[in-house]
Amino acid sequence: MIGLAYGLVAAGLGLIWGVMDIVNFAHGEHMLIAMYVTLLTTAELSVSPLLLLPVNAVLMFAVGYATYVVIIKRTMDGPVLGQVLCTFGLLLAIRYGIIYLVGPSTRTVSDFAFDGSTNAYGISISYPAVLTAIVSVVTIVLLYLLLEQTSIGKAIRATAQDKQAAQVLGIETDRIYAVSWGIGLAATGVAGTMIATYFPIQPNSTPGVWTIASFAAVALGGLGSIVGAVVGGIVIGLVQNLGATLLDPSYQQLYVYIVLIAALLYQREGILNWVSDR
Amino acid sequence: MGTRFQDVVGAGVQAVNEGADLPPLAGAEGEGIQGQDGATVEVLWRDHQGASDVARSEAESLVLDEGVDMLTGCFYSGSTQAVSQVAEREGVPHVCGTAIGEGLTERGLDWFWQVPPHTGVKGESMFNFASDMNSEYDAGLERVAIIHQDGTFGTEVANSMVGVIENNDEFEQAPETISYNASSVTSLSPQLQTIRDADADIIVHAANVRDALIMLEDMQTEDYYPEMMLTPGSAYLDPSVLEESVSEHVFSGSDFSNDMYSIHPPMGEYNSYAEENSGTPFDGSNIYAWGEFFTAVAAANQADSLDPADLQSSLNSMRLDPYEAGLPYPVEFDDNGYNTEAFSFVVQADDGELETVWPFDQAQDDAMTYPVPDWSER
Amino acid sequence: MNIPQTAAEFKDLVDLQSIPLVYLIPAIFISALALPYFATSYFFINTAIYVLLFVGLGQSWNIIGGYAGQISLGHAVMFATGAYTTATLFIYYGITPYLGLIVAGLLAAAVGLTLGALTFRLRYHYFSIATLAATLGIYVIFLQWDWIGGAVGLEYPIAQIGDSLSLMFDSREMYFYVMWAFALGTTVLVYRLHTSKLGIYLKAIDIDQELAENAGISAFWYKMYAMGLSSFIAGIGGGLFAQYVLYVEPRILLELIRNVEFVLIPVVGGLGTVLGPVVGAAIYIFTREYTRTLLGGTQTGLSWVIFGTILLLISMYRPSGLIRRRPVIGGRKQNTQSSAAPARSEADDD
Repeated sequence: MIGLAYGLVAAGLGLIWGVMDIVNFAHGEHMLIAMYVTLLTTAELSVSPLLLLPVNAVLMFAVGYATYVVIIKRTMDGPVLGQVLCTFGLLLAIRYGIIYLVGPSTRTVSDFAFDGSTNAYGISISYPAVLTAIVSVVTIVLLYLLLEQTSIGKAIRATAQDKQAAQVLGIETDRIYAVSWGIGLAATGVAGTMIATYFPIQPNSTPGVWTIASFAAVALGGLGSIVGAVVGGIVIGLVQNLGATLLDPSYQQLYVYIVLIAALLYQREGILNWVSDR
Repeated sequence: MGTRFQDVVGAGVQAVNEGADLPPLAGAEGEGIQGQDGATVEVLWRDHQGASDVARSEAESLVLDEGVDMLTGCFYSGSTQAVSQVAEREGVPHVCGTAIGEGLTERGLDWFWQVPPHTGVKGESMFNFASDMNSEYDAGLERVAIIHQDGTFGTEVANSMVGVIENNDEFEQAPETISYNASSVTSLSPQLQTIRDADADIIVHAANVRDALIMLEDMQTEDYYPEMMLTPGSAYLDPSVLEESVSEHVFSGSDFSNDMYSIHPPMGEYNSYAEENSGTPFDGSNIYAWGEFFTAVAAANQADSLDPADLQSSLNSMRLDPYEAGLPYPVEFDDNGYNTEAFSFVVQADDGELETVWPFDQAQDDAMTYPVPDWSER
Repeated sequence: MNIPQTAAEFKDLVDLQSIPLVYLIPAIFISALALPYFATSYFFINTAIYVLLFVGLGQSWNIIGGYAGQISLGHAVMFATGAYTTATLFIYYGITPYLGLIVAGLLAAAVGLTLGALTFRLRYHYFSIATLAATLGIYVIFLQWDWIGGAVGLEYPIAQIGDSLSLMFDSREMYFYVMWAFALGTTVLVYRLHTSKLGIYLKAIDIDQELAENAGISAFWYKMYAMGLSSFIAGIGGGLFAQYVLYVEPRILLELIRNVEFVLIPVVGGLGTVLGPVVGAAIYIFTREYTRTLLGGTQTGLSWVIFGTILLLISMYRPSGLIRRRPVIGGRKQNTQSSAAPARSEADDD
């Protein structure tokens, strides 16, 4: 079930990656922002996290858009190295910025309205997890519709396929990039909000897990494809759980890394090819 | 956690320098350390960030640049070892009250002393408790699952626990020791499944705060609870865990409980003093720092001078009664520098507080809740 | 504040380009030798020792990241291999680290080459991701590996400090000189690389791999060569680190920060330049040590926020670091500048 959340986060990453060929190393950290917003507002103001969903989505959109305009854009014309360094710098700045401001301790949201669990068919399911899954699915569907049906979505896809052709067609690629960042991060924001409801969040460890998982998911699912990222996410979730159950649980995370590397190596033949070869 | 340490030690410094009416706390009788003509105590703090190379650099800087008389610390075994190496090389006493690794005093060092009970001792108390539960309450505990985070703390504690069980015929390990990566784990369900399949009666979990919470929440989700959840403390004694209702009824080996003050009244007075003057009361972790500080003060108090050699012999011949060092047990070091008088007891979490449950004669009436109720009944 | 303009002015100030490296390198290093005499505190010497060590490590990464353009985020693996090899050989078998270091370097090179063989077909950020995953994965493995101490790690027998073959010294000055030799050796190595055919080929691969291949340069094998060299150095650096700290554990060898340092230092100082890592190491280590001690435990993370921001700024405005690259291709092979003001050589950037 966590695979769906992975899928959502991965979709966000994949969008940015597929459209502009930038890998956001700080993806997990961006999610962290949304998580902390959730944690702090629920603690201080006793607001239900569900209400925060649209808030965080909009917030993260703004963050993404701004990040692009202010920071990423400068690196677009430079060497790839610059882009890698840039997101890496973001990783450090955001992660440690949060630690500095709020402290490195673990937190979780308490008193969530949907806390608790149930037993169905011998498998126990926790409510927040189900809710997360539902929200993830809904968001993914929304994303999909956005990209397929709306004009902005089409513009994004066009730019992803061929930047120059898109420009010829009059699409402001720059704005598209910014929007992509916005949407990509908004997706992560939604995921983050839900995850914060039932996972203890720790700024040093949590982002890393999610960044790697989403990388693996995108690598598996093929670049630029939402469905692919989602499928990839589910696979990663399964790998984690099955790996721990069937094989030595001590190496749980290792399995994901191996899958990631393998996926990268064979990446050209991604599971679902949607964008034509870059 | 570091700030909580700093708070109580700060109160300790105040007690020593200004004098506090807290008998028989060593060094607090009058202003300054009486044994050294009223010399004031100053504590310099450094953050090793959990890294032994940083710990080493900072320790060397403290000794060589700042000229400190004694070193204390450092919570993590790795950092403690690195710092004790520095102490040994430079001939400066290192009094450790916050690291509980078992082999720390076995390294043949002359300048290192360990005050609290190490993980082996704690393990023994834990399993003596379990054994008593078997004989007194017919608990039928036999199969033990050990699961630990794969960092220094978890691995060390687990190794000690394994050692204790191997020497104890009453218990056996089932399944094999499980470890997991604390920072990246998102769910312990797979591990729980393995434990359930092995039909374990007791779960021993050495964890950090985050994974402790994950474990408890996963257990709740799966509506599973072992006969006894018995932990070596640390995360399970941490306020962040205790304030969550899922932590209720967990048993832990500990050197601290919220109700120990009735058996050890002086500790209660120390606690009030600390809380009044620093805003932070004692808890399962910072009590170690308090004891460590006062052991060091006691050493200075009883030494002929502040020369390293005199401090060293003061520590080697130290014989403190309970409460003199701010701890409920005496302090007397063996040839290796280990405090053989230190003991550990067992507590149970009840509504966010830790209550002593073992030794039975130290427990309040009705303190223990056993058998532990199912999730649905809570 | 007009950043580009200020940067340009700064650049003109820091115009070391006009001095031939042949003079510059010895000048810097010989004057560095005097440092121990001016050391006011242990802390300063300790910092200086780390600076020198990281110059070496930075140069190691420089070879593969600066010259060959492969952004490896996993160099800590080779570093850790070197550290553990030296440590275990000495602690378990009593083999002198002088020998152990060489073995460490070779083993690290082997590891690096294996990594390279697997991942060199990946380009740009894919390569980076793969190396990142590799280092995190190896971290997990090492935590579980009891023979090397698992999570707890191994400690050096300090009773043997000062023994002639133990490479463990009581005096900090000796360590300083050892690290100095390491820093000098690696810098000279990179200097030779810079002016050699290998250096040109690597730069060519960096600029345009397909074009280089067409010109008959086997990208794969040259990258491997660079990786081997780079890993060997990283391994030795790891061993030296172990000999100084006298304690090895996975956390200090393989954590994310360690990997980042390998990248941060050459990048900040100047990618693909001979002196870049020297500058970068000095800046980074001094900042790191002094912010940690001055800010104490209360300002956790602030220093990293600063580094992250620095990285950001550099990536935005000066992706190649503080020191400009000297042209390798299409210019003189000697390192004297013919023009007065070094132009931003577009050909060097991707």
